[in-house]
Amino acid sequence: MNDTTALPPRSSGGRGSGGAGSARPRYKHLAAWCFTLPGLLFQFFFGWFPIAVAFIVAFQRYYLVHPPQWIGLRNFHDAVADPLTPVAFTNTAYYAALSLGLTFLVPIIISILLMEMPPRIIRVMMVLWFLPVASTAGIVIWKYLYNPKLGLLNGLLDMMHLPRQAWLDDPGLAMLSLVLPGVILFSPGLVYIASLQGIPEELYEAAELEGAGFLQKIRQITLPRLRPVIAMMLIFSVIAAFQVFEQPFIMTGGGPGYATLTVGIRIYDLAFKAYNLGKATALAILLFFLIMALVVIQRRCFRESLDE
Amino acid sequence: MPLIPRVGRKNARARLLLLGISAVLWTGVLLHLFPFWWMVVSSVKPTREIFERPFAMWPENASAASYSLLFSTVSAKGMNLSLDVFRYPMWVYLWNSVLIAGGTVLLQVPVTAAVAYAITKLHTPGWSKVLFLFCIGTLMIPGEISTVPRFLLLSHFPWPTPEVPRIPLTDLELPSFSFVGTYLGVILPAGFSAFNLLLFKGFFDTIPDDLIDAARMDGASEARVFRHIILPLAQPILAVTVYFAFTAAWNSFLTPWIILMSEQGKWPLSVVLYKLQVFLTNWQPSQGSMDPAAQKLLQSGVGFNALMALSVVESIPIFVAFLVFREQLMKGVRLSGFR
Repeated sequence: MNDTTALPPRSSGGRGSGGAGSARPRYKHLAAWCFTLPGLLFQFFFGWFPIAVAFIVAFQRYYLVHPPQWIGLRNFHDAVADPLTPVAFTNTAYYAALSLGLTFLVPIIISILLMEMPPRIIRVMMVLWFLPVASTAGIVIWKYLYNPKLGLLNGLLDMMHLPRQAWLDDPGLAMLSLVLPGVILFSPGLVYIASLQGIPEELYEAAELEGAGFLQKIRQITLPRLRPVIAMMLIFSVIAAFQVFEQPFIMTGGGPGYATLTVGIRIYDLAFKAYNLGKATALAILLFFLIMALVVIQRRCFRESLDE
Repeated sequence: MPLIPRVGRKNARARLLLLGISAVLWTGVLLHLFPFWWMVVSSVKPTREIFERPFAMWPENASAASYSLLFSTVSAKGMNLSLDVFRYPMWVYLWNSVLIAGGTVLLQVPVTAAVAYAITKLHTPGWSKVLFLFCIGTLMIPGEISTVPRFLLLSHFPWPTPEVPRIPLTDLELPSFSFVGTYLGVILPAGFSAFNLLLFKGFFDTIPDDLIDAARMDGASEARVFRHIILPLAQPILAVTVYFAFTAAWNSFLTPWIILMSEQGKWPLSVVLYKLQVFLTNWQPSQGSMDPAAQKLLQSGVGFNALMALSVVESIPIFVAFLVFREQLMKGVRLSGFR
């Protein structure tokens, strides 16, 4: 296009007041695309292209050793008929409900309370509260704490003369045990703190003059102000919770039995243990539509209540 | 301190409320820090104590045996479990993590910054909008859908098919690259970050156009403007994006696990921690056993202490990055439109 002819104007146009004006737009084009191209390539090949490929692979009988064959909706049929699929979806929903219920509110509450402290304490506490740990490390620490024989949690139960628990090995307790570390190990609090600091103090002073109490101020000022951030974080949390893979994969491998078999783990097993890439992708697409539906519903709910 | 007014802080009710809040917060901090403490204490216990005094809050004879695994390998005959994890000294895995995380930061941050800058300042409004949607559209799409296709794509880039297609009418394969089993296979998929693009764009939006135009009038090329005017200004947001890129790459597990599965010498720490954990879950030496293989392992610091020592090693860069970027992180997150 114009790109090849865009180079010369820089010298020919000179620095005259008129020249710069006419030369710049074309020159900007070339530079703009140079700046954009690498990122676009990455985004195309590793962002959009795999998604498009997923919608092809899912309609094929796809094993690594044979050339793929088109089989229409067979993979989806197989995925739905698979007795483990409902188990996986139920477990995933259970995990998402537990993890959102137990872990989503904590950072919000903590952040609001943290703002009440004197500034010096806020700085210290923020470091302590939000101190992160490498994610696999965080998971294996808990695996050790939960260890039935050597883990500290059973040691504490012993000390209190309570019966020992099997934690991750107990089908009834395994899922809760997966979620529990998240209650005290989090970092989204940082985002809330950032937006809390953006609320002008005058608002609170005005409310104070009108006689609003502690909880009333939270309800009338803090929460409405936080609302967009909460809505966004909720969407990200839902997407993340329904895709959960690492915690169950490392801590339980989906067991005991199928107690913590999530859809993420099932997709992994189908793809990299059974090498049935078509069926694995079909399952991933089902999960994809479920999550997208939830996101749409969520956005609608939040938008409607905002319009009021 | 918006909820409890500053003037009223002397009265009894306000004081009680503040005290209660402090108590809750400090309890939370203690709960939050306890696993860290336990990780560090366990890592300096000798293996024997891990088994014999599993709940001791302090090691009787502190030992750095587990940390010495960083520089030594372990082999023992007569084990019915595979000791493959210990085939390399652990520093190899640490170095792999450094390479992967470092490579990701060096690739992702400049690439993303450049796109964000072009979208905000260089493209026409029409293109700008289209490109922006193209760049951030994937953010809302659950990533698990592309796990399998991405693996296929990386096996012989850029063809996501089991075999490389041939040039029509000939028997020649089209050009392709296999990234499976290479560091690049882990780094390239993270070459662009939609999330960091949002952060950058939020910042570049605040830079006045006049500043850029003035530099252009002086004859600076777009690349010069970007390097010498925009990037120095963007320091706070650079810090944040570097932090996010680094921690995401350092923590990544599934991608290196799938891509580097067959190349143990290239595993990062995250994968090794998982493998070590699997080994330890299966290995429960009976107490007082005189099995020479088990004895040898006990002496070389293999046990949950080794797992914790490795966790400490894996976490240190994350701690340091957090402490270093703390202030910038707060500023940056605020700048980026999380208002």
